[in-house]
Amino acid sequence: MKKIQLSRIIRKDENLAMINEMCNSLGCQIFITEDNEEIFKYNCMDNTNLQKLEVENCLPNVQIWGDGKSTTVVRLLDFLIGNAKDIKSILTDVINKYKELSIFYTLGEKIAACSDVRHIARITYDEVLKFIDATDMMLILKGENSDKVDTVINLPCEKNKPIIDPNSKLLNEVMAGMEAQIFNGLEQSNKLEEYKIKSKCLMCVPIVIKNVAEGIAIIGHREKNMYTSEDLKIFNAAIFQLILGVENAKLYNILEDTFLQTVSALSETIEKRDPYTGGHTHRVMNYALAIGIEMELSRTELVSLRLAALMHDIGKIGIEDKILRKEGALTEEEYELMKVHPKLGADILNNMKYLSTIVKGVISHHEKYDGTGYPNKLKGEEIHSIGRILAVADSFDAMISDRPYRKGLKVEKALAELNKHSGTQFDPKVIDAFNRAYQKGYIQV
Amino acid sequence: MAKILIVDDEPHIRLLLEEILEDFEEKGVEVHTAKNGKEAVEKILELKPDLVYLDIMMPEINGYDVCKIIKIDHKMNDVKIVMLTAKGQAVDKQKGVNSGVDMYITKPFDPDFIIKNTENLLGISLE
Repeated sequence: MKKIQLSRIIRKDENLAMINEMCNSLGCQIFITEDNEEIFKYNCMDNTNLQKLEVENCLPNVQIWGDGKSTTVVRLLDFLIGNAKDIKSILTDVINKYKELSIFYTLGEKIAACSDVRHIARITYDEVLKFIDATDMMLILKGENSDKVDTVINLPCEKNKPIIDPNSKLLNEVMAGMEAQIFNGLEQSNKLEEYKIKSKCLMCVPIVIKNVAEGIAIIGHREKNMYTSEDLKIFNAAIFQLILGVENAKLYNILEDTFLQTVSALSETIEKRDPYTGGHTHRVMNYALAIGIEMELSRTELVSLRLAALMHDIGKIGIEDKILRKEGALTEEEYELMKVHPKLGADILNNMKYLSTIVKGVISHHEKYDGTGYPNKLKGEEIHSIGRILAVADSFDAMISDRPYRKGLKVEKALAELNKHSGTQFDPKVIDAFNRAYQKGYIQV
Repeated sequence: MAKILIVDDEPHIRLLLEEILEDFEEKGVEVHTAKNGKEAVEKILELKPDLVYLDIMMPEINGYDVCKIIKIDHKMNDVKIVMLTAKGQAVDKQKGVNSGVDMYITKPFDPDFIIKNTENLLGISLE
Protein backbone atom coordinates (compact mmCIF):
# COMPACT_ATOMS: atom_id res chain seq x y z
CA MET A 1 0.00 0.00 0.00
CA LYS A 2 1.42 3.32 -0.99
CA LYS A 3 1.91 5.84 1.71
CA ILE A 4 -0.60 8.59 2.40
CA GLN A 5 0.51 12.06 1.46
CA LEU A 6 -0.78 14.98 3.49
CA SER A 7 -0.14 17.29 0.56
CA ARG A 8 -2.66 15.38 -1.50
CA ILE A 9 -5.24 15.51 1.27
CA ILE A 10 -4.78 19.24 1.73
CA ARG A 11 -4.84 19.87 -2.01
CA LYS A 12 -8.38 18.54 -2.34
CA ASP A 13 -10.73 21.48 -2.85
CA GLU A 14 -13.21 20.58 -0.12
CA ASN A 15 -10.47 19.93 2.41
CA LEU A 16 -8.49 23.06 1.60
CA ALA A 17 -11.57 25.23 1.93
CA MET A 18 -12.39 23.70 5.30
CA ILE A 19 -8.85 24.12 6.66
CA ASN A 20 -8.59 27.71 5.51
CA GLU A 21 -11.98 28.53 6.99
CA MET A 22 -11.02 27.02 10.31
CA CYS A 23 -7.67 28.80 10.42
CA ASN A 24 -9.47 32.00 9.61
CA SER A 25 -12.06 31.72 12.36
CA LEU A 26 -9.45 30.63 14.91
CA GLY A 27 -7.04 33.33 13.83
CA CYS A 28 -4.19 30.89 14.29
CA GLN A 29 -0.76 30.43 12.80
CA ILE A 30 0.26 27.10 11.36
CA PHE A 31 3.15 25.81 9.26
CA ILE A 32 3.31 22.33 7.75
CA THR A 33 6.08 20.54 5.88
CA GLU A 34 6.18 17.16 4.24
CA ASP A 35 9.48 15.62 3.15
CA ASN A 36 11.00 18.90 4.28
CA GLU A 37 9.00 20.90 1.79
CA GLU A 38 6.40 23.43 2.80
CA ILE A 39 2.92 22.23 1.92
CA PHE A 40 0.71 24.62 3.88
CA LYS A 41 0.96 27.71 5.95
CA TYR A 42 -1.46 30.17 7.43
CA ASN A 43 -0.72 33.60 8.75
CA CYS A 44 3.04 33.11 8.96
CA MET A 45 6.17 32.93 6.87
CA ASP A 46 7.85 29.92 8.40
CA ASN A 47 8.01 28.00 11.65
CA THR A 48 9.82 30.60 13.72
CA ASN A 49 8.12 31.30 17.04
CA LEU A 50 5.87 28.30 16.58
CA GLN A 51 5.71 25.10 18.59
CA LYS A 52 6.17 21.68 17.07
CA LEU A 53 2.90 19.82 17.34
CA GLU A 54 2.22 16.12 17.47
CA VAL A 55 -0.49 14.44 15.47
CA GLU A 56 -2.07 11.18 16.63
CA ASN A 57 -2.41 9.80 13.16
CA CYS A 58 1.10 10.87 12.46
CA LEU A 59 2.68 10.55 9.09
CA PRO A 60 6.42 9.97 9.25
CA ASN A 61 7.52 12.72 6.88
CA VAL A 62 5.16 15.39 8.12
CA GLN A 63 6.07 18.13 10.55
CA ILE A 64 3.58 20.62 11.94
CA TRP A 65 4.31 23.82 13.78
CA GLY A 66 1.62 26.05 15.20
CA ASP A 67 0.64 28.48 17.94
CA GLY A 68 -1.70 27.81 20.84
CA LYS A 69 -4.80 28.43 18.73
CA SER A 70 -3.95 25.85 16.11
CA THR A 71 -4.66 22.66 18.04
CA THR A 72 -8.16 22.34 16.58
CA VAL A 73 -6.76 22.55 13.09
CA VAL A 74 -4.32 19.82 14.01
CA ARG A 75 -7.26 17.71 15.20
CA LEU A 76 -8.97 18.30 11.86
CA LEU A 77 -5.86 17.21 9.97
CA ASP A 78 -5.69 14.21 12.23
CA PHE A 79 -9.26 13.29 11.32
CA LEU A 80 -8.63 13.77 7.60
CA ILE A 81 -5.51 11.62 7.72
CA GLY A 82 -7.37 8.88 9.59
CA ASN A 83 -10.14 9.00 7.02
CA ALA A 84 -7.68 8.83 4.18
CA LYS A 85 -6.04 5.76 5.69
CA ASP A 86 -9.39 4.00 6.03
CA ILE A 87 -10.42 4.85 2.51
CA LYS A 88 -7.07 3.75 1.15
CA SER A 89 -7.27 0.37 2.80
CA ILE A 90 -10.82 -0.14 1.53
CA LEU A 91 -9.79 0.91 -1.95
CA THR A 92 -6.81 -1.43 -1.94
CA ASP A 93 -9.12 -4.28 -1.08
CA VAL A 94 -11.64 -3.27 -3.74
CA ILE A 95 -8.92 -3.01 -6.36
CA ASN A 96 -7.76 -6.51 -5.50
CA LYS A 97 -11.31 -7.79 -5.79
CA TYR A 98 -11.68 -6.07 -9.16
CA LYS A 99 -8.53 -7.78 -10.35
CA GLU A 100 -9.81 -11.15 -9.18
CA LEU A 101 -13.17 -10.52 -10.80
CA SER A 102 -11.70 -9.59 -14.11
CA ILE A 103 -9.53 -12.69 -14.07
CA PHE A 104 -12.59 -14.84 -13.62
CA TYR A 105 -14.66 -13.11 -16.23
CA THR A 106 -11.86 -13.52 -18.73
CA LEU A 107 -11.04 -17.05 -17.60
CA GLY A 108 -14.66 -18.17 -17.80
CA GLU A 109 -15.08 -16.79 -21.31
CA LYS A 110 -11.80 -18.17 -22.62
CA ILE A 111 -12.30 -21.62 -21.14
CA ALA A 112 -15.85 -21.86 -22.48
CA ALA A 113 -14.45 -21.54 -26.00
CA CYS A 114 -12.13 -24.50 -25.47
CA SER A 115 -12.50 -28.24 -25.68
CA ASP A 116 -8.94 -29.41 -25.11
CA VAL A 117 -7.59 -30.03 -21.59
CA ARG A 118 -4.09 -28.86 -22.36
CA HIS A 119 -5.39 -25.66 -23.85
CA ILE A 120 -7.66 -25.04 -20.87
CA ALA A 121 -4.74 -25.61 -18.50
CA ARG A 122 -2.59 -23.14 -20.41
CA ILE A 123 -5.29 -20.48 -20.44
CA THR A 124 -5.77 -20.91 -16.70
CA TYR A 125 -2.05 -20.60 -16.05
CA ASP A 126 -1.77 -17.42 -18.13
CA GLU A 127 -4.64 -15.74 -16.29
CA VAL A 128 -3.49 -16.88 -12.83
CA LEU A 129 -0.03 -15.43 -13.49
CA LYS A 130 -1.60 -12.00 -13.64
CA PHE A 131 -2.28 -12.29 -9.96
CA ILE A 132 0.06 -14.89 -8.50
CA ASP A 133 3.83 -15.22 -8.80
CA ALA A 134 4.74 -18.61 -10.16
CA THR A 135 7.28 -20.32 -12.33
CA ASP A 136 5.51 -23.61 -12.91
CA MET A 137 2.08 -25.16 -12.91
CA MET A 138 1.12 -28.80 -13.22
CA LEU A 139 -2.16 -30.51 -13.81
CA ILE A 140 -2.25 -34.19 -12.92
CA LEU A 141 -5.30 -36.28 -13.73
CA LYS A 142 -5.99 -39.86 -12.80
CA GLY A 143 -7.41 -42.29 -15.31
CA GLU A 144 -11.07 -43.20 -15.46
CA ASN A 145 -11.83 -45.66 -12.61
CA SER A 146 -8.20 -46.00 -11.68
CA ASP A 147 -5.72 -44.66 -9.21
CA LYS A 148 -2.89 -44.39 -11.66
CA VAL A 149 -1.77 -41.09 -13.05
CA ASP A 150 -3.14 -40.77 -16.55
CA THR A 151 -2.40 -37.25 -17.69
CA VAL A 152 0.35 -34.89 -16.63
CA ILE A 153 0.34 -31.40 -18.04
CA ASN A 154 3.42 -29.35 -17.29
CA LEU A 155 3.38 -25.58 -17.79
CA PRO A 156 4.83 -23.35 -19.10
CA CYS A 157 6.76 -25.96 -21.04
CA GLU A 158 6.29 -29.72 -21.26
CA LYS A 159 10.04 -30.19 -21.57
CA ASN A 160 10.78 -28.56 -18.21
CA LYS A 161 11.54 -30.84 -15.30
CA PRO A 162 8.33 -31.02 -13.26
CA ILE A 163 8.54 -29.23 -9.93
CA ILE A 164 7.26 -32.28 -8.13
CA ASP A 165 7.10 -35.98 -8.91
CA PRO A 166 3.54 -36.64 -10.14
CA ASN A 167 3.39 -39.88 -8.19
CA SER A 168 4.74 -38.47 -4.96
CA LYS A 169 3.21 -39.36 -1.63
CA LEU A 170 2.72 -35.70 -0.79
CA LEU A 171 0.29 -35.27 -3.65
CA ASN A 172 -1.55 -38.45 -2.79
CA GLU A 173 -1.93 -37.19 0.76
CA VAL A 174 -3.38 -33.90 -0.42
CA MET A 175 -5.79 -35.71 -2.74
CA ALA A 176 -6.86 -38.01 0.08
CA GLY A 177 -7.46 -35.00 2.31
CA MET A 178 -9.53 -33.38 -0.48
CA GLU A 179 -8.50 -29.93 0.67
CA ALA A 180 -6.25 -27.35 -0.90
CA GLN A 181 -2.93 -26.80 0.83
CA ILE A 182 0.00 -24.41 0.79
CA PHE A 183 3.54 -25.60 1.34
CA ASN A 184 5.93 -22.78 2.16
CA GLY A 185 9.63 -22.59 2.93
CA LEU A 186 10.33 -25.93 1.31
CA GLU A 187 14.05 -25.16 1.19
CA GLN A 188 14.30 -25.81 4.87
CA SER A 189 12.26 -28.95 4.94
CA ASN A 190 13.38 -32.46 4.16
CA LYS A 191 10.47 -32.86 1.79
CA LEU A 192 12.52 -31.50 -1.10
CA GLU A 193 14.59 -34.62 -1.51
CA GLU A 194 11.86 -37.02 -0.58
CA TYR A 195 9.33 -35.78 -3.12
CA LYS A 196 11.77 -34.48 -5.71
CA ILE A 197 10.45 -30.95 -5.30
CA LYS A 198 12.14 -28.26 -7.32
CA SER A 199 10.28 -25.20 -6.09
CA LYS A 200 10.61 -23.24 -2.88
CA CYS A 201 6.88 -23.11 -2.31
CA LEU A 202 3.81 -24.88 -3.60
CA MET A 203 0.08 -24.66 -3.65
CA CYS A 204 -1.87 -27.84 -4.27
CA VAL A 205 -5.54 -27.99 -5.10
CA PRO A 206 -7.12 -31.43 -5.39
CA ILE A 207 -9.49 -31.83 -8.30
CA VAL A 208 -12.64 -33.16 -6.74
CA ILE A 209 -15.53 -34.17 -8.96
CA LYS A 210 -18.63 -35.65 -7.34
CA ASN A 211 -16.72 -36.20 -4.11
CA VAL A 212 -13.93 -38.12 -5.75
CA ALA A 213 -10.39 -36.75 -6.02
CA GLU A 214 -9.67 -37.25 -9.69
CA GLY A 215 -6.44 -35.35 -9.81
CA ILE A 216 -4.53 -32.40 -8.51
CA ALA A 217 -3.45 -28.98 -9.67
CA ILE A 218 -0.14 -27.60 -8.47
CA ILE A 219 1.47 -24.24 -8.77
CA GLY A 220 4.90 -23.29 -7.48
CA HIS A 221 7.78 -20.85 -7.55
CA ARG A 222 11.38 -21.91 -7.89
CA GLU A 223 12.75 -18.73 -6.32
CA LYS A 224 10.11 -17.16 -4.12
CA ASN A 225 9.38 -19.12 -1.00
CA MET A 226 5.99 -18.07 0.25
CA TYR A 227 2.37 -18.17 -0.79
CA THR A 228 -0.37 -16.47 1.19
CA SER A 229 -3.93 -17.56 1.81
CA GLU A 230 -5.02 -14.86 -0.66
CA ASP A 231 -2.92 -16.59 -3.32
CA LEU A 232 -4.53 -19.91 -2.47
CA LYS A 233 -8.00 -18.44 -2.71
CA ILE A 234 -7.33 -17.19 -6.22
CA PHE A 235 -5.68 -20.39 -7.38
CA ASN A 236 -8.48 -22.45 -5.88
CA ALA A 237 -11.13 -20.42 -7.66
CA ALA A 238 -9.22 -20.52 -10.96
CA ILE A 239 -8.91 -24.32 -10.71
CA PHE A 240 -12.64 -24.50 -10.07
CA GLN A 241 -13.20 -22.79 -13.41
CA LEU A 242 -10.67 -25.12 -15.00
CA ILE A 243 -12.49 -28.18 -13.68
CA LEU A 244 -15.80 -26.93 -15.06
CA GLY A 245 -14.14 -26.40 -18.42
CA VAL A 246 -12.47 -29.81 -18.42
CA GLU A 247 -15.70 -31.60 -17.47
CA ASN A 248 -17.51 -29.75 -20.20
CA ALA A 249 -14.85 -30.62 -22.74
CA LYS A 250 -14.98 -34.27 -21.69
CA LEU A 251 -18.75 -34.42 -22.03
CA TYR A 252 -18.61 -32.68 -25.38
CA ASN A 253 -16.03 -35.14 -26.65
CA ILE A 254 -18.07 -38.10 -25.39
CA LEU A 255 -21.13 -36.65 -27.09
CA GLU A 256 -19.30 -36.15 -30.35
CA ASP A 257 -17.80 -39.63 -30.21
CA THR A 258 -21.18 -41.19 -29.45
CA PHE A 259 -22.76 -39.32 -32.30
CA LEU A 260 -20.14 -40.47 -34.79
CA GLN A 261 -20.28 -44.02 -33.47
CA THR A 262 -24.06 -44.01 -33.79
CA VAL A 263 -23.82 -42.85 -37.37
CA SER A 264 -21.27 -45.57 -38.09
CA ALA A 265 -23.50 -48.19 -36.49
CA LEU A 266 -26.45 -46.98 -38.52
CA SER A 267 -24.52 -47.21 -41.74
CA GLU A 268 -23.51 -50.75 -40.82
CA THR A 269 -27.15 -51.86 -40.64
CA ILE A 270 -27.49 -51.60 -44.40
CA GLU A 271 -24.22 -53.45 -44.82
CA LYS A 272 -25.69 -56.39 -42.90
CA ARG A 273 -28.63 -56.55 -45.24
CA ASP A 274 -26.69 -56.05 -48.42
CA PRO A 275 -22.93 -56.51 -48.30
CA TYR A 276 -22.48 -54.94 -51.73
CA THR A 277 -23.97 -51.67 -50.44
CA GLY A 278 -21.72 -51.75 -47.37
CA GLY A 279 -18.42 -51.74 -49.19
CA HIS A 280 -19.90 -49.37 -51.71
CA THR A 281 -20.82 -46.86 -49.01
CA HIS A 282 -17.27 -46.64 -47.75
CA ARG A 283 -15.82 -46.32 -51.22
CA VAL A 284 -18.30 -43.57 -52.11
CA MET A 285 -17.35 -41.80 -48.92
CA ASN A 286 -13.68 -41.84 -49.87
CA TYR A 287 -14.34 -40.63 -53.43
CA ALA A 288 -16.69 -37.92 -52.18
CA LEU A 289 -14.13 -36.70 -49.66
CA ALA A 290 -11.42 -36.60 -52.31
CA ILE A 291 -13.74 -34.47 -54.46
CA GLY A 292 -14.69 -32.29 -51.50
CA ILE A 293 -11.07 -31.60 -50.60
CA GLU A 294 -10.32 -30.77 -54.21
CA MET A 295 -13.24 -28.35 -54.19
CA GLU A 296 -11.75 -26.78 -51.06
CA LEU A 297 -14.77 -27.33 -48.85
CA SER A 298 -14.49 -26.15 -45.26
CA ARG A 299 -13.93 -28.58 -42.41
CA THR A 300 -17.59 -28.37 -41.40
CA GLU A 301 -18.71 -29.00 -44.98
CA LEU A 302 -16.36 -31.98 -45.23
CA VAL A 303 -17.77 -33.43 -42.02
CA SER A 304 -21.31 -33.10 -43.42
CA LEU A 305 -20.19 -34.62 -46.72
CA ARG A 306 -18.66 -37.56 -44.92
CA LEU A 307 -21.81 -38.17 -42.89
CA ALA A 308 -23.99 -37.83 -45.98
CA ALA A 309 -21.82 -40.32 -47.86
CA LEU A 310 -22.01 -42.81 -44.98
CA MET A 311 -25.78 -42.45 -44.93
CA HIS A 312 -26.59 -41.97 -48.58
CA ASP A 313 -27.92 -45.50 -49.16
CA ILE A 314 -29.44 -46.06 -45.72
CA GLY A 315 -32.85 -45.88 -47.36
CA LYS A 316 -32.14 -49.22 -48.99
CA ILE A 317 -32.99 -50.82 -45.67
CA GLY A 318 -36.60 -50.26 -46.68
CA ILE A 319 -36.24 -52.08 -49.99
CA GLU A 320 -37.34 -55.70 -50.15
CA ASP A 321 -34.71 -58.40 -50.47
CA LYS A 322 -35.97 -59.64 -53.79
CA ILE A 323 -35.18 -56.28 -55.31
CA LEU A 324 -32.25 -55.25 -53.12
CA ARG A 325 -30.38 -58.54 -53.47
CA LYS A 326 -31.53 -59.51 -56.93
CA GLU A 327 -28.82 -61.26 -58.89
CA GLY A 328 -29.78 -59.91 -62.28
CA ALA A 329 -30.60 -56.48 -63.63
CA LEU A 330 -33.78 -54.86 -62.34
CA THR A 331 -36.99 -54.69 -64.36
CA GLU A 332 -38.68 -51.35 -64.99
CA GLU A 333 -41.09 -51.90 -62.12
CA GLU A 334 -38.38 -53.07 -59.76
CA TYR A 335 -36.29 -50.05 -60.72
CA GLU A 336 -39.18 -47.73 -59.87
CA LEU A 337 -39.44 -49.35 -56.43
CA MET A 338 -35.70 -48.98 -55.89
CA LYS A 339 -35.89 -45.30 -56.76
CA VAL A 340 -37.66 -44.72 -53.45
CA HIS A 341 -34.51 -45.26 -51.40
CA PRO A 342 -33.23 -41.65 -51.36
CA LYS A 343 -36.57 -40.51 -49.93
CA LEU A 344 -36.60 -43.40 -47.41
CA GLY A 345 -33.09 -42.42 -46.35
CA ALA A 346 -34.20 -38.84 -45.82
CA ASP A 347 -37.18 -40.03 -43.74
CA ILE A 348 -34.88 -42.03 -41.48
CA LEU A 349 -32.41 -39.20 -41.09
CA ASN A 350 -35.05 -36.61 -40.34
CA ASN A 351 -35.50 -38.33 -36.99
CA MET A 352 -32.15 -37.00 -35.86
CA LYS A 353 -31.94 -33.27 -35.39
CA TYR A 354 -28.22 -33.23 -35.92
CA LEU A 355 -28.40 -35.15 -39.17
CA SER A 356 -31.17 -33.11 -40.72
CA THR A 357 -28.58 -30.89 -42.35
CA ILE A 358 -27.36 -33.73 -44.51
CA VAL A 359 -30.86 -34.87 -45.49
CA LYS A 360 -30.81 -32.61 -48.52
CA GLY A 361 -27.60 -34.26 -49.72
CA VAL A 362 -28.90 -37.77 -49.17
CA ILE A 363 -32.28 -37.23 -50.79
CA SER A 364 -30.73 -35.68 -53.88
CA HIS A 365 -27.90 -38.11 -54.65
CA HIS A 366 -29.85 -39.45 -57.62
CA GLU A 367 -30.90 -36.09 -59.01
CA LYS A 368 -29.39 -35.12 -62.35
CA TYR A 369 -27.82 -31.81 -63.18
CA ASP A 370 -30.20 -31.36 -66.12
CA GLY A 371 -33.31 -31.94 -64.03
CA THR A 372 -34.13 -35.45 -65.23
CA GLY A 373 -33.26 -37.22 -61.99
CA TYR A 374 -35.32 -38.39 -59.02
CA PRO A 375 -37.18 -38.02 -56.71
CA ASN A 376 -37.83 -34.30 -57.25
CA LYS A 377 -36.42 -33.53 -60.71
CA LEU A 378 -34.20 -30.83 -59.22
CA LYS A 379 -31.93 -28.98 -61.60
CA GLY A 380 -28.45 -27.47 -61.41
CA GLU A 381 -27.81 -25.50 -58.22
CA GLU A 382 -31.22 -26.51 -56.87
CA ILE A 383 -29.53 -29.77 -56.03
CA HIS A 384 -27.62 -29.49 -52.78
CA SER A 385 -23.87 -29.45 -53.38
CA ILE A 386 -23.48 -32.62 -51.32
CA GLY A 387 -25.99 -34.34 -53.58
CA ARG A 388 -24.10 -33.24 -56.68
CA ILE A 389 -20.85 -34.62 -55.27
CA LEU A 390 -22.44 -37.89 -54.14
CA ALA A 391 -23.96 -38.35 -57.58
CA VAL A 392 -20.51 -38.46 -59.15
CA ALA A 393 -18.94 -40.60 -56.44
CA ASP A 394 -21.88 -42.99 -56.42
CA SER A 395 -22.01 -43.42 -60.19
CA PHE A 396 -18.27 -43.90 -60.41
CA ASP A 397 -18.33 -46.72 -57.91
CA ALA A 398 -21.35 -48.32 -59.54
CA MET A 399 -19.57 -48.31 -62.89
CA ILE A 400 -16.31 -49.85 -61.72
CA SER A 401 -17.91 -52.45 -59.42
CA ASP A 402 -18.53 -55.98 -60.54
CA ARG A 403 -22.15 -57.12 -60.48
CA PRO A 404 -23.41 -60.65 -60.73
CA TYR A 405 -24.72 -59.86 -64.20
CA ARG A 406 -21.88 -57.73 -65.57
CA LYS A 407 -18.28 -56.93 -64.84
CA GLY A 408 -17.20 -53.50 -63.73
CA LEU A 409 -15.76 -50.99 -66.16
CA LYS A 410 -12.08 -50.18 -66.19
CA VAL A 411 -11.33 -46.97 -64.36
CA GLU A 412 -10.38 -45.05 -67.48
CA LYS A 413 -13.61 -46.03 -69.15
CA ALA A 414 -15.60 -45.03 -66.10
CA LEU A 415 -13.84 -41.67 -66.08
CA ALA A 416 -14.64 -41.20 -69.73
CA GLU A 417 -18.30 -41.95 -69.03
CA LEU A 418 -18.35 -39.41 -66.21
CA ASN A 419 -16.84 -36.77 -68.45
CA LYS A 420 -19.27 -37.62 -71.22
CA HIS A 421 -22.16 -36.82 -68.95
CA SER A 422 -20.68 -33.68 -67.45
CA GLY A 423 -23.25 -30.91 -67.68
CA THR A 424 -26.14 -33.29 -68.22
CA GLN A 425 -26.16 -35.87 -65.46
CA PHE A 426 -23.37 -34.34 -63.46
CA ASP A 427 -22.27 -30.90 -62.28
CA PRO A 428 -19.25 -29.91 -64.42
CA LYS A 429 -17.50 -28.37 -61.44
CA VAL A 430 -17.72 -31.65 -59.58
CA ILE A 431 -16.48 -33.59 -62.61
CA ASP A 432 -13.51 -31.23 -62.90
CA ALA A 433 -12.68 -31.75 -59.25
CA PHE A 434 -12.97 -35.51 -59.66
CA ASN A 435 -10.60 -35.44 -62.63
CA ARG A 436 -8.07 -33.40 -60.71
CA ALA A 437 -8.34 -35.66 -57.66
CA TYR A 438 -7.82 -38.70 -59.86
CA GLN A 439 -4.78 -37.18 -61.52
CA LYS A 440 -3.31 -36.40 -58.14
CA GLY A 441 -3.80 -40.02 -57.16
CA TYR A 442 -6.41 -39.37 -54.50
CA ILE A 443 -9.00 -41.67 -56.01
CA GLN A 444 -8.02 -45.02 -54.51
CA VAL A 445 -9.84 -47.76 -56.31
CA MET B 1 1.72 18.48 -18.14
CA ALA B 2 -0.62 15.60 -18.93
CA LYS B 3 -4.11 15.72 -17.43
CA ILE B 4 -6.66 13.00 -16.80
CA LEU B 5 -10.31 13.61 -15.96
CA ILE B 6 -12.43 10.96 -14.25
CA VAL B 7 -16.18 11.37 -14.70
CA ASP B 8 -18.66 9.18 -12.84
CA ASP B 9 -21.71 9.98 -10.74
CA GLU B 10 -20.75 7.24 -8.27
CA PRO B 11 -18.21 8.49 -5.73
CA HIS B 12 -16.67 5.08 -5.15
CA ILE B 13 -15.82 4.71 -8.84
CA ARG B 14 -14.15 8.11 -8.81
CA LEU B 15 -12.16 7.17 -5.71
CA LEU B 16 -11.26 3.80 -7.22
CA LEU B 17 -9.99 5.25 -10.46
CA GLU B 18 -8.10 7.98 -8.61
CA GLU B 19 -6.43 5.32 -6.49
CA ILE B 20 -5.54 3.19 -9.51
CA LEU B 21 -4.10 6.19 -11.35
CA GLU B 22 -2.25 7.49 -8.29
CA ASP B 23 1.15 6.39 -9.56
CA PHE B 24 0.79 8.62 -12.58
CA GLU B 25 0.77 11.67 -10.33
CA GLU B 26 4.40 10.98 -9.46
CA LYS B 27 5.17 11.23 -13.17
CA GLY B 28 3.67 14.69 -13.18
CA VAL B 29 0.19 13.81 -14.38
CA GLU B 30 -2.74 15.73 -12.92
CA VAL B 31 -5.79 13.68 -12.04
CA HIS B 32 -9.12 15.53 -11.78
CA THR B 33 -12.66 14.35 -11.19
CA ALA B 34 -16.17 15.40 -12.12
CA LYS B 35 -19.38 14.04 -10.68
CA ASN B 36 -21.84 14.62 -13.51
CA GLY B 37 -22.07 15.44 -17.19
CA LYS B 38 -22.45 19.15 -16.71
CA GLU B 39 -19.38 19.41 -14.49
CA ALA B 40 -17.52 17.17 -16.94
CA VAL B 41 -18.11 19.52 -19.85
CA GLU B 42 -17.09 22.53 -17.78
CA LYS B 43 -13.89 20.89 -16.57
CA ILE B 44 -12.95 19.55 -19.99
CA LEU B 45 -13.33 22.98 -21.54
CA GLU B 46 -11.37 24.55 -18.71
CA LEU B 47 -8.60 21.99 -18.17
CA LYS B 48 -8.31 20.55 -21.70
CA PRO B 49 -7.34 17.07 -20.42
CA ASP B 50 -5.52 14.56 -22.58
CA LEU B 51 -7.59 11.64 -21.39
CA VAL B 52 -11.10 11.32 -19.99
CA TYR B 53 -12.55 8.22 -18.32
CA LEU B 54 -16.23 8.80 -18.84
CA ASP B 55 -19.18 6.92 -17.38
CA ILE B 56 -22.13 6.45 -19.70
CA MET B 57 -25.04 6.27 -17.28
CA MET B 58 -25.33 9.62 -15.58
CA PRO B 59 -28.42 11.71 -14.86
CA GLU B 60 -29.27 14.76 -16.98
CA ILE B 61 -26.30 14.76 -19.37
CA ASN B 62 -25.07 11.21 -20.06
CA GLY B 63 -21.66 10.10 -21.32
CA TYR B 64 -22.60 10.11 -24.99
CA ASP B 65 -23.87 13.66 -24.74
CA VAL B 66 -20.69 14.82 -23.05
CA CYS B 67 -18.68 13.15 -25.76
CA LYS B 68 -20.73 14.73 -28.51
CA ILE B 69 -20.46 18.18 -26.99
CA ILE B 70 -16.70 17.91 -26.65
CA LYS B 71 -15.80 16.12 -29.86
CA ILE B 72 -18.41 17.42 -32.24
CA ASP B 73 -19.62 20.76 -30.98
CA HIS B 74 -16.24 21.91 -29.71
CA LYS B 75 -14.18 19.79 -32.07
CA MET B 76 -11.68 18.93 -29.34
CA ASN B 77 -10.21 15.95 -31.12
CA ASP B 78 -7.07 15.78 -29.02
CA VAL B 79 -9.03 14.67 -25.99
CA LYS B 80 -9.10 10.87 -25.79
CA ILE B 81 -12.45 9.71 -24.44
CA VAL B 82 -12.73 6.25 -22.90
CA MET B 83 -16.28 5.21 -22.05
CA LEU B 84 -17.01 3.07 -19.01
CA THR B 85 -19.90 0.72 -19.59
CA ALA B 86 -21.60 -1.76 -17.29
CA LYS B 87 -20.98 -5.43 -18.11
CA GLY B 88 -23.87 -6.86 -20.07
CA GLN B 89 -24.97 -3.47 -21.26
CA ALA B 90 -25.24 -3.61 -25.02
CA VAL B 91 -22.82 -1.11 -26.43
CA ASP B 92 -24.48 1.13 -28.97
CA LYS B 93 -21.61 1.16 -31.40
CA GLN B 94 -23.34 3.46 -33.83
CA LYS B 95 -24.05 5.94 -31.09
CA GLY B 96 -20.43 5.68 -30.04
CA VAL B 97 -19.20 6.39 -33.52
CA ASN B 98 -21.59 9.31 -33.88
CA SER B 99 -20.46 10.79 -30.58
CA GLY B 100 -16.74 10.42 -31.19
CA VAL B 101 -15.99 7.81 -28.52
CA ASP B 102 -12.42 6.57 -28.72
CA MET B 103 -12.67 3.39 -26.67
CA TYR B 104 -14.90 1.29 -24.39
CA ILE B 105 -14.01 -0.40 -21.11
CA THR B 106 -16.50 -2.55 -19.18
CA LYS B 107 -17.02 -2.29 -15.44
CA PRO B 108 -15.83 -4.00 -13.30
CA PHE B 109 -12.61 -3.10 -15.02
CA ASP B 110 -9.26 -4.75 -14.65
CA PRO B 111 -7.12 -2.25 -12.70
CA ASP B 112 -3.96 -3.41 -14.47
CA PHE B 113 -5.64 -2.84 -17.79
CA ILE B 114 -6.59 0.71 -16.79
CA ILE B 115 -2.95 1.39 -15.94
CA LYS B 116 -1.64 -0.12 -19.17
CA ASN B 117 -4.27 1.69 -21.19
CA THR B 118 -3.42 5.01 -19.57
CA GLU B 119 0.29 4.43 -20.19
CA ASN B 120 -0.48 3.87 -23.87
CA LEU B 121 -2.81 6.80 -24.31
CA LEU B 122 -0.59 9.28 -22.51
CA GLY B 123 2.68 7.86 -23.77
CA ILE B 124 3.96 7.68 -20.20
CA SER B 125 5.45 4.53 -18.74
CA LEU B 126 5.25 3.83 -15.00
CA GLU B 127 8.45 1.80 -14.91
